[in-house]
Amino acid sequence: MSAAAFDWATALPVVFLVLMGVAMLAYVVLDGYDLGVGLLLHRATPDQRDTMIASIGPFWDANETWLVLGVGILLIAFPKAHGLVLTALYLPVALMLVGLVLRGVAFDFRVKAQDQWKPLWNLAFWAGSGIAAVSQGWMLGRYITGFAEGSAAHLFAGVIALLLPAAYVLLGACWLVMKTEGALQLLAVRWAKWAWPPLVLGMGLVSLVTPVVSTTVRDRWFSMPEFIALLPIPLATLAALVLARVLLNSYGPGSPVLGAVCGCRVGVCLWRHRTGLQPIPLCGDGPVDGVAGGQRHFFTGGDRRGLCGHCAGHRGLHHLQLPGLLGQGA
Amino acid sequence: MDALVLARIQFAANITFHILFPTITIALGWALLFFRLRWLKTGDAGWLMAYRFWTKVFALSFALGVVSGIVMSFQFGTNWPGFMERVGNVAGPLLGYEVLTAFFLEATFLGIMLFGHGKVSERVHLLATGLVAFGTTMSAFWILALNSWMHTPAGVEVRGGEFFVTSWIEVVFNPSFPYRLVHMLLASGLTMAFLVAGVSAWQFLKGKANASSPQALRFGLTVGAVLIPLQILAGDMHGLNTLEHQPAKVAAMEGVWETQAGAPLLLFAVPDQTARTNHFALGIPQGASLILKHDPQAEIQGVNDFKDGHPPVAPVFWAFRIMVGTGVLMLVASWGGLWLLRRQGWSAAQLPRPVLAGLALMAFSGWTATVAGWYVTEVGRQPWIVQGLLRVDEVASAVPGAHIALTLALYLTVYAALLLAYVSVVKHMAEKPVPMPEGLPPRAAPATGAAA
Repeated sequence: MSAAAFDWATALPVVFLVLMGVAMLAYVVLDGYDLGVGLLLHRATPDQRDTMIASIGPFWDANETWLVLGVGILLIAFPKAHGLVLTALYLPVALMLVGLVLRGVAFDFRVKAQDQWKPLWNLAFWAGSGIAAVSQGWMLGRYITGFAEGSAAHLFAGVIALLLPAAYVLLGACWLVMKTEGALQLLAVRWAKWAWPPLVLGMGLVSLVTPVVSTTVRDRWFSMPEFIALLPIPLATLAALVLARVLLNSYGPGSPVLGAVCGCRVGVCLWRHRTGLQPIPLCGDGPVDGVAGGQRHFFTGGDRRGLCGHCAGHRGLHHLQLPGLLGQGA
Repeated sequence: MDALVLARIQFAANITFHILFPTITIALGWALLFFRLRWLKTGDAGWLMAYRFWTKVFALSFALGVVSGIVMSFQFGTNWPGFMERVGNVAGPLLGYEVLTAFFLEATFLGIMLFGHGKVSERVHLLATGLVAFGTTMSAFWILALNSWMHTPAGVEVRGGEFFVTSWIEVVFNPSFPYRLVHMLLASGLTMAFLVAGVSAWQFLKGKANASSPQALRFGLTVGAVLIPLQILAGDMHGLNTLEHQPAKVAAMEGVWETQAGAPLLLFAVPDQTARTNHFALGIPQGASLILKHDPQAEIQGVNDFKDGHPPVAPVFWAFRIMVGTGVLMLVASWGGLWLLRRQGWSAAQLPRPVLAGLALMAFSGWTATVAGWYVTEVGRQPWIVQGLLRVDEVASAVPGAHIALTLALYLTVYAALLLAYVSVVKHMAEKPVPMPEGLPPRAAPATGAAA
């Protein structure tokens, strides 16, 4: 790739892919802590709620813009995949949007409406954050199994739907540890500790299931030179998670938000890599009107060479994975 | 109902809800800049209070616009996957510019504007206010470029069902774009003007006026009075442009079924799609021909002539009359209000109560006219999604009707609740007593309101 002559047609999809990856990563980490704070809202006193929401007030709008950018790039650069993914995820997307709408407007309404409505807007804030987080978890779970049918796949999505909010809660709690002090800070440390086990469980589960459902990921991860090259990813994830936990135990001035962000960031890389997210948009000119079975194959990556034989011009890209982008070769 | 109709209702519901808020914020951003500059120039605390109050309304409107805008960016994919598939080369970049140049500009500088007063220097804060206004306007620029292109496509070629851009200049500055952009920006100005005037009139009516109310009332009426004649002119020019490029839409607007010379300007009628005629028609003879072609005997093409399909006549016909009727009311209200205000020596508190009540009633008249106008142009584009090139039913999604109905019910419930909450919160904020800013006595007492 790097040795080849510079070719816009080949390079642009990669550029947009990296941009979209950055946008989604930024969204998960940044709006993740907003949603996490929202999820923790009903566990705090009314005064603490004001502090908690004030701590994310100036940032949430910009944070949510990353979602718009991510879906925008999907729409701009890979319009076919945009339609395909959003049709497959129609109901959870609608639920997520309603959740984000409720959460977003509650910011303003809860301070501007008459006092008697404030508890209702707090409820909308909490419920909106929860609905959005759970829907995103469900979408992630469905996506990892390649929209597989059957109760096992749906059960898996259900479990992820509950575990992703835990990841957000950890981020949110760590954010509060960083931004607050006193009783609320101590409370936030407790929340963070509470969210840590389900997060680890969720990441472990995803890591176990992905190689099982995707042959590409399996081949890539469990063949020899690649295994060594990729080993830093799970190791770094593990180290970041342990670091976050250790920092929480000492809850000193050292802010665990760093550790948690590291953990989640690396974790997200891991998810993205393992699930083979990259090929989807690149197959935008692939079998878009495929039937359910074809779609499944399509989404998980599968044998991409076979699937996308007719878009031979991009063939090299279909095999371009994260390590390739990092210069480790794939 | 079939899935296509449900998908259209759902998208229409969302886009209707969404446009309410940008319509306010596009112009309100500039109004805030004006309030701020007036305050710096005159030192009158009334302007500062107006700035602070309307900033709150701006933030609330902006939040509602953002969240409903996010829903929209997803609904392109969920409701019209075929649109992005076929037209992605055109729509993608235009939507992308909107997100990049405008959304980031707005979202970033809005933070400084809302939370930075007193934390950053006056100059930086002023700049942030200006950039927010500029950002919302640029948003409108890109979105209207795309929307206009769907009405009057240019600068593309279709290969294998897919659209490829041959000239971006032609795509962006397509034939209807200048008219639509001006028409929409003026609509935003009028919506803002009547909202500002109406809310201030309500404050006087309820005895809750503060130092900002006289300034805001006079400002709203003045902007309304200046913009409405311009809007009538721009609307007429836009109509002539539509006649040239989308004659079927104009035929539906005028309720002309059969092509005829000297078509009447219908003031009232009940169009009947099945019988393909109008009932209870009341019109000015040869009026439509005169207005559209500036010749009383000119021939106007009727909807029956469009064999490829034409829009449903009744909704376009009625929405057009609601828009024009609201525009006439705006003309009367702003000029009449301003004249009365002048007779009272610019003292808004002296305005007769019925006048204040009338202005308060018209606080959201901009919404009515804007939504009606959008219905004219968008329903009038049917059955095309890209006029003459791509039909709506070709791009709809395969999502089952039941799923669409379910989410439609969900969206409608949320939107209705939020709309109610928005109006009642604006009312609540307007009635809440505001303390004078510390150490800043108003230059003029509220009752005389002689500033500006």
